[in-house]
Amino acid sequence: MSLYSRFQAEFNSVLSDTTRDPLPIAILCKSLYIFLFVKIIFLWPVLSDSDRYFPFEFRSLIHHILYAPIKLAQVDLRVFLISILILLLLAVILKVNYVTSVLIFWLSFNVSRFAYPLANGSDYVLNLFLFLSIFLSVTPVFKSKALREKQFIISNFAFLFCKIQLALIYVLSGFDKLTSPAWQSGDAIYSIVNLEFFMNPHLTIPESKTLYVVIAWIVILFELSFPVLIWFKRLRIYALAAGIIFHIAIIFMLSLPDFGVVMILLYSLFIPSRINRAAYASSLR
Amino acid sequence: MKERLTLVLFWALVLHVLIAVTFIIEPPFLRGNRLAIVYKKYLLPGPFFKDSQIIDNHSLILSWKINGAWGVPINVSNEDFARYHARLNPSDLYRGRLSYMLLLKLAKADSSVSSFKNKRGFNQLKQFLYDHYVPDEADSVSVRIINNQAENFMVRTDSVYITFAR
Repeated sequence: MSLYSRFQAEFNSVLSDTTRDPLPIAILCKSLYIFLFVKIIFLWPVLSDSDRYFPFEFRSLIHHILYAPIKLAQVDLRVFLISILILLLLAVILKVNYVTSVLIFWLSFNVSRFAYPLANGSDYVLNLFLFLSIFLSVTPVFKSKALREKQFIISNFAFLFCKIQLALIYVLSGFDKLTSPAWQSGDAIYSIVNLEFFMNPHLTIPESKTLYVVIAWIVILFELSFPVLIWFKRLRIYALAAGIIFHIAIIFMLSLPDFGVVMILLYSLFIPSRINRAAYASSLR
Repeated sequence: MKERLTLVLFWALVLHVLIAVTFIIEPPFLRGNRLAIVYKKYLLPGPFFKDSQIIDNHSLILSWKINGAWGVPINVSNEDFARYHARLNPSDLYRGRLSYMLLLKLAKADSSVSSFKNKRGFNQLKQFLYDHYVPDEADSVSVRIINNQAENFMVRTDSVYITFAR
């Protein structure tokens, strides 16, 4: 059997699995919904100022359709935000389904555009995975067996696609750093340490070129090895642990809580079902 | 039918990975290409901490004059950031980002005072300062916009002073 045939057979069996555990998808989607809920709560006090100094402008017919919820936000911000929060609460309680997934993605995308001066990498990552989560859903389920099978195939494909996309995000960042002279020499770490509005003022990093080079290469190696190691069952746990440490360091050192948290939440894509189930059961106790 | 769908999805995935790898390697003909920008923004976010994005660091020092006396200058850009680290409320971080974005609209190391005053963003920044910091009884306002460039293991500082009537 050729490598191609084996690879395709494995791919077919992953996609055709209609008995897969729905819990990982529920945990992924609902954790993203809770993240968005909390993010909106913290954005709320700043959004009216953001709209005042950076008002969103509707420039075309597509804008009027795509960003229709922003019109409501511009008329009454409180109604807009409360509506989203209620929807998110419902989505956390209900089964993951097409209707809430589509609505949440659309509204989250609108929140990001409405608050674009406040947006960072976490918003792009969140919106990408909220978009993909639309295809993860299998509720409501089709009555016809043939259609139901296709529904599961698309859902399984979307789950695999999410994993690959997460890996590609690391490859992109790692490759960019690998080819950057500033990262190779450690100069980029010097620049980051001097970013007054990112670096935690309670931390002091000794001024040492050697240290900067070491940190830069640890980051490069992590970002390039994570997307490879994560596919090997025996190494996955170590890759995930390294990733969690990496993102917690970003949260505390570089004052990017939302980015670090959303990346850690996405790791649930790679956590085996039995661990997800045990964690879920203990959270209900 | 099921087999055909999985085959289509298989090749769609292969194609997607090939396209993504092309955008990651970014051959010269794709640099600055609109499709590449949109793809990287929405489908493949990143790269994060790109070297060109971490060099410049701006700050704004504000003071105002009441009854002929200038007050103690405050670092507007730093206020919310320091508050975030004191009480760990992300709203402070977002507020700081908003003022930083207003500043970013203006800040360029080689800008002259006259070009600053003519920029559209200057009126927005002035309005922001009036709304949040400068009291009504102030008759003059002074801002110092500082640009620190940390590159090649050294920091280069440029600044522009602007004084205007309230």
